[in-house]
Amino acid sequence: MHCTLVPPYILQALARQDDPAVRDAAVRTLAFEKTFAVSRLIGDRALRQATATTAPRLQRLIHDALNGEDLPGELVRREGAPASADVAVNEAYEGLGDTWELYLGVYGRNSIDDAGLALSGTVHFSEQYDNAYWDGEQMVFGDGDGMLFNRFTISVDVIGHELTHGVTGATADLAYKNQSGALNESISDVFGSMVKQYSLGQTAEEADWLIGAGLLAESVNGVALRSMRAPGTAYDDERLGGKDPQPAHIRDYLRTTSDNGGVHTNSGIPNHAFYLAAVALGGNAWERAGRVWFETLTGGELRSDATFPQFAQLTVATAERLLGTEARKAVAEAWAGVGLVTS
Amino acid sequence: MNVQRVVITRSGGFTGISVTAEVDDADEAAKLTEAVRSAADRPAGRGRDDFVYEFTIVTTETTDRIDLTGSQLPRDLRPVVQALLARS
Repeated sequence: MHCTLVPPYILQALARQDDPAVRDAAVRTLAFEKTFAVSRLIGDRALRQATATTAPRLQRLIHDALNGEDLPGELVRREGAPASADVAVNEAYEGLGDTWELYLGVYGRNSIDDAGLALSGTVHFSEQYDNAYWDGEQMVFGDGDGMLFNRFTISVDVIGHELTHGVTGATADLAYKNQSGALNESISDVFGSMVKQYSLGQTAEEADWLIGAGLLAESVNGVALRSMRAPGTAYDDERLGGKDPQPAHIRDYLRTTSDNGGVHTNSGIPNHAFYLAAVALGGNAWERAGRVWFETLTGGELRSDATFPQFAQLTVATAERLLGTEARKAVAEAWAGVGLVTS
Repeated sequence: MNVQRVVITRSGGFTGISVTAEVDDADEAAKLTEAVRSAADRPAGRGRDDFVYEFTIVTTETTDRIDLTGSQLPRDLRPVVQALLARS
């Protein structure tokens, strides 16, 4: 059992001190803390493998479950291997690469754990499986049923979304329930969308802000699963239970016991706040708004049981610290746009 | 206290879309209830975007609800639940 007396945000403040003795001690402690956090996430054996990497190096492992449910399944493509004849294998491989590039190239994060963890994904999980998920160690993708959903590797933002669950688990570890769970989901949508925008070179104005574009089968009345620009408008089809239920404003927050307290529904509120902030800050979303959200997620001050107002307040403070007063105002106005007032 | 029916709702998953099915045959509902109750003690796992299966068990006297994650749902039960939900 390992316990710590000094909160991570204090250690991070100390790590920014000019005094080398204080700074180095804090950095060593933070590294120790990170090791334990990662150990909880991936297990000791995997941790040893991960930390053996000295310089950032992309390592992808794509497996095929062969429509069974044993994970990880048969290894079908490893880093540097030529493309497969299987489109799902290649999409997973490329999507993991795009996600790794965003995290390293923009935010300096070396994989999920910031210690070079190999990225593992399994395609063709189960039969007609309408889902993609992060199991705590790897990404898993179903083929979809072909009637309502296509294969879940089809949208790079889905892959970015799942991998970001790993990043969140290794950092703020937002509890997967109610508002903190909706924040967990929103952060995955935010970085999933930015993986797509980054790979396409789109500005915030140019992006479609859709999550899961291409995922819905042709006969479904809809363009995607979620819209960050206009939550609640992504689809309208009785076979999917009717209209996209995502709210764009806190007054429409859904109180439910299903889906861990509506985590995939209420994520529409912080999703829309991010969209408003990104457009207001302008340029590429990953450079300014994305930086603010990333620092908020990984900075050590975000509690695992954070509420929407607490997260909003932290993003506003982070915007001020990183980008100045105008950015602070823009982020505060974005949250006001979804009904959350920050000080 | 005999089980009369079980209502199954699958929520969550990456899509966040809910589907519901019902088992109204008392014998089948009792078998399903037994399997679900024994699975409830399994580790829930740390999955994100995993499905959540809600089983609402209606007996002659009470209504109970048991939630299972996708990793808790027994493998031999998955095809049955999947088929029921697909029919709904």
